[in-house]
Amino acid sequence: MSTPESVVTAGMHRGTTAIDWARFGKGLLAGLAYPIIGITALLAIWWLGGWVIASNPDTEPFAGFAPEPAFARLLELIANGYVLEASLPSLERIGLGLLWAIVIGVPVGVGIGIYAALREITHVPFQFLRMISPLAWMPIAVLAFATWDGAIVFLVAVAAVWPVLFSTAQGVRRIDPLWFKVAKNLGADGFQMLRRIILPAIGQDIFAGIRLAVGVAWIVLVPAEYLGVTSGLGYAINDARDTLEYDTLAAMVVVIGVIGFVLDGICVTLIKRFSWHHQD
Amino acid sequence: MSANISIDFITHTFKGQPAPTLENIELRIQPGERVALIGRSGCGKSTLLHMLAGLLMPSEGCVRIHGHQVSRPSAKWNMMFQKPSLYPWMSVRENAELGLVFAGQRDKDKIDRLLALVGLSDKAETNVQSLSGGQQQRVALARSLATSPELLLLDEPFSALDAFTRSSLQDEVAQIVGREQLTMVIVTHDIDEAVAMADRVLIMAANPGRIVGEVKVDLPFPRNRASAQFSRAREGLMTRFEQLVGGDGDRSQQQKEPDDANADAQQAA
Repeated sequence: MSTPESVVTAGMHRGTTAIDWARFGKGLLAGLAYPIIGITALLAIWWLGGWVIASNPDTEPFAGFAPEPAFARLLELIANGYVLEASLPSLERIGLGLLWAIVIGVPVGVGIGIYAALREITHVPFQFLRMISPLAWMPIAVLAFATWDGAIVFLVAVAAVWPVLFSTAQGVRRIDPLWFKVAKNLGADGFQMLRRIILPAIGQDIFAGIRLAVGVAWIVLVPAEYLGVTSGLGYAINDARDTLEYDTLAAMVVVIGVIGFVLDGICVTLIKRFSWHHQD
Repeated sequence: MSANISIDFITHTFKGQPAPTLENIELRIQPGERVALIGRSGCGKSTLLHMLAGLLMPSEGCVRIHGHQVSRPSAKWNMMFQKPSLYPWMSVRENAELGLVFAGQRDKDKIDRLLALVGLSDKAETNVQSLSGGQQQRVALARSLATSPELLLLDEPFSALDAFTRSSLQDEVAQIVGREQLTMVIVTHDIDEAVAMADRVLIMAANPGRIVGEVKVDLPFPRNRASAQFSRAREGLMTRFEQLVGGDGDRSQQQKEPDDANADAQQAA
């Protein structure tokens, strides 16, 4: 049998739950409001651009760029598997290029973060190489690699290595020197220092560098895939241009944007996961 | 086993500095002894402590523990710093057991016992960033004790804490050091801290850094700060410190004064 007190408590509990739901809904709306405004604005500009192109007889053949034909084509391309077919080779090249960038960038970044002499020695060469557009390496890459795929992975790696390297080095330089002193005092050897102190301390810096690298690599990938390959998103765009299928071209641009956004989201999640800054 | 320390005629000059920071330091510290180094800023107390820890090599002379020259850091002579310097991505337990992890000797029971000793059993799995300054220093203490050191070196470890936490930690550390039969050397600016924790207080003066005197503190542990004996010991140390270090205990200043007087006299003539 319920007492009057228990009814009141249950009522209060229900009331609290209702308020929490309301708050949750409000928070969700507040969180989504700005992205929705941004996306709407982007679509509006795109639609307006498409309308202007379609309204002008000189540019009317390019009307396929507008949102309606592009999205209609996109749905078709998803349904017939073309999007997946084009995306997987690109993702593989990006993945391999980033892997090389990390394999080279993280150890070298740790090295120049720790050793001032190495930092001084590498400063000029690295800044010089960093300033060269990765696409400028294209002819050399084509000569140096036996396959087109190898050349593209090389170009992606060349673009992606610098953000990873410099972000890692910066992270190492920001480590509290006392952490090294304490670890030494507790008997850490070089490998233990790297594994237990340096890498956890700079985890978020490494992933912040990878996030930047993904952006740069993704930008380089599309023109790199204009090279002799017959697969990938860059090839799909080039092919659509050659066959005057502008709706397909716009649809593939959307695919590139969406995949880039998802990759960035993965990087942000990893940065948060490896961030040790306390969050109350 | 407690560390038996001998410091043999240490002189140290930092790179790019014209004068030595430490000059001709000779000292013996008996096993199980609790020693405090006091002196004004810049007299080389922390430099000397870093040498005891093997974190800094002297330009001349050497530190020996059990007759062996200290040439590198070791978990057998552990140092606690002014900042707890905990690793913020680790829990209390992970921080405390780090020395054991480095040595490949994880020992959960030992860490549990140490966390109980420093009153942090209920926080073992908590991230260290959630702890107060005093609790963080307790974790640092547990971490220092986990490797069963023979010598505990304390570099002003409580100076950033509030007065209540500071005095309770001073008592706790002094008792733990006694119970675990460790040798302890503490660097401090605080006369009360020296009297509360040490059997012997060494007074250092600057320019160059040197030991100019020592005062024994012959009081039983735990020491009652409100007692007449404690006040007397404190007064005695204060007086001795003023006598020895005076204005600033700067030998170069003391030597300069007569010269300056002569120069003034010559100028007047």
